[in-house]
Amino acid sequence: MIIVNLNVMMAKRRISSQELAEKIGITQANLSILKTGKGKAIRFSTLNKLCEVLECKPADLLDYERGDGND
Amino acid sequence: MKKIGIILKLVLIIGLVVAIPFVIISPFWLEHTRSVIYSMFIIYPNSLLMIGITIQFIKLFQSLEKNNPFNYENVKTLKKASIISLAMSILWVIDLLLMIFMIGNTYINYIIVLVFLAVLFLGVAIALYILSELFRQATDYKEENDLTI
Repeated sequence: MIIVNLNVMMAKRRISSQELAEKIGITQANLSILKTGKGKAIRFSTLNKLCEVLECKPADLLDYERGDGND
Repeated sequence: MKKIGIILKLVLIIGLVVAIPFVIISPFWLEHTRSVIYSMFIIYPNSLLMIGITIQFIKLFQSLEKNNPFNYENVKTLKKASIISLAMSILWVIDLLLMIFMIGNTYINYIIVLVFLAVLFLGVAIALYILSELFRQATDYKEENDLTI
């Protein structure tokens, strides 16, 4: 299953949810869905903006772990 | 969407209020006691089921009012309406048999009407079932779209 490490990266960059949501142009509710791993998919454009704002690579945000996740 | 939902809901509620007393007294307009009893067997159960379908549609229009028609609750509502419609179709067939074998009424006019109603409600049941499946798939797509960030 895919694990979203957004929380870790946000803590490293010391950025709040509200600030990040504003900078990448999504609502806080959607950012929360992404952070908690409830999301079903992520757009390349969103990933692009996340990497731009957090100054990191997609691999820093996403991780893969063998498990029984469907998505 | 919201206005249509409110209007349709009001029409159904007014229709329900007008139809219930009409349905209750309608068998008593007939002349023979036997006819009254048999009409009650035919009219009352079918009317009850019709009220069931109407209630399901009122629920459906309420969700239209809230601008959120694609949810799993509506899928269930449509499926329920489809099952009730199927039950009604079966009931019309039973009524037809009752009419022919118990009352001995073999007037072609009555038979045509009852066969027509049975086929009509079978068609409605199938249409509603297909619609509920469409709603289920649409809800799946909507959910996936909502959860794509």
